Amino acid sequence: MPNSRLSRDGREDARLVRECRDGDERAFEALVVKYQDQVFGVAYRMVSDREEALDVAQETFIKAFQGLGSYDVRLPFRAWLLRIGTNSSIDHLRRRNRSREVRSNGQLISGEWVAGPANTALPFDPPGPETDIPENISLSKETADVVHDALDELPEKYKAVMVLHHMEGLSYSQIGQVMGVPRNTAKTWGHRARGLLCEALEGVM
Amino acid sequence: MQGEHLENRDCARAAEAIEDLGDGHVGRVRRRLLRRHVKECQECESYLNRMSAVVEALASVQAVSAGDDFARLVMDRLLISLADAVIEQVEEHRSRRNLLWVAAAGLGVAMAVGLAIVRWVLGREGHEKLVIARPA
Repeated sequence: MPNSRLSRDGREDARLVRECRDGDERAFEALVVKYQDQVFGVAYRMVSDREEALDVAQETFIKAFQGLGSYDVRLPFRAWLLRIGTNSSIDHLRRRNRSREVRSNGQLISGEWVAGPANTALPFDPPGPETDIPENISLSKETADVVHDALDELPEKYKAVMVLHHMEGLSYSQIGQVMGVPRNTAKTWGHRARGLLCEALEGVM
Repeated sequence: MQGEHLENRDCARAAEAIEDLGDGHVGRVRRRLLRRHVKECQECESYLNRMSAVVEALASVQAVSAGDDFARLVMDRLLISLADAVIEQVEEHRSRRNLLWVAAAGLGVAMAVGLAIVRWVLGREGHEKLVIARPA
C-alpha cells in the first residue's frame, strides 16, 4: 500500500516497522509503548487475570517481533498486532482449565475493572453503541455481574468480538481484519454473542 | 427471543432493530417504530431492556494499563529470546561438527579394520601357498 494512502498513524507505524526490520530496537520499543495498553487490554479482558494477561501481552510482542519479516504492510499494523494478541489470548484460554474466581467484592484483582464511567473516546472512530435505556432500567451490580460471568462462558471467538467491539471500540470491519474473517462474519458472531448474553439475563430482568 | 414470538412480523422487525441498536446503528425512524412497538409488546420490551443492560455492562469497564515497566519487560524478554536463539544455533553447529568428527573417526576405524582383515586374508593365503610350495 503506497504510503500516501495511509493515515498519519499508519505512516508512522510503517516507518517504525521499516526501522525495526533494519535492526533498530528502539523503533520496536516505540511500537511496544504505543500499543501496550491496547494489547494488554484485550488480553486482560479475555483471560481475566492480570499476571496471565501480562504474560500473554509480552508473548504477543515477542511473536510480533519474530514475525516482522512476514508482516504484510497492506494490513494496518494495529490490526495485525491485535490479531496476534487475540489469537494468543484464545490459545491461552484453551490451554487453561478455567474455574477461577474472577471477582472479589465486585472488583477484579488489581485490574481496575469496576463498574464505572464508560471508556473515553479512542483515536479511531469507535462504533459507540447507543442504547435507548428505558427510564426504569439502571444497571445494578447483580446485572453487571451476570453479564460478566456470561461473557467468561462464551466461546472464545464470540468473547473476542465482544471485547474488541464493546471494550476496545473496534468496528466490525476492523474486527474482521483482526480475526481474519469477513466483516459480516464478525458481525454475526457479535450478534450471536450478545444474544447469548441477553439469554443469561432472562430471569434476572 | 422465542421463535414463535418472532413469527409476528412486527416483533421480528423489532428484534432486528434491537440487535442493531446493540451496534449503535438504528436510524431515527426505526427507533421511533421500535419505541412504539415495545409499548405494546411486553416480550420485545423485555428483550430491549436486556440488550440495553448487556451493552451498558460491556461498555462500563474502565481502561486498563499495562504498567510503566511493561516495555522494559518486553525488551528484556526479547533480548533473552534472541540470546537463547544464538546459543541454540551455536549448540546445533557444535553438535553437527561433533557428528562429523564421529563419522570421520568411524570411517577411519572401519577402514583400519578392513585393511587388517585384508592383510590377514592375504597373509593366510600366502602362508598356504608357501606350505604347498615347500618341498617335503
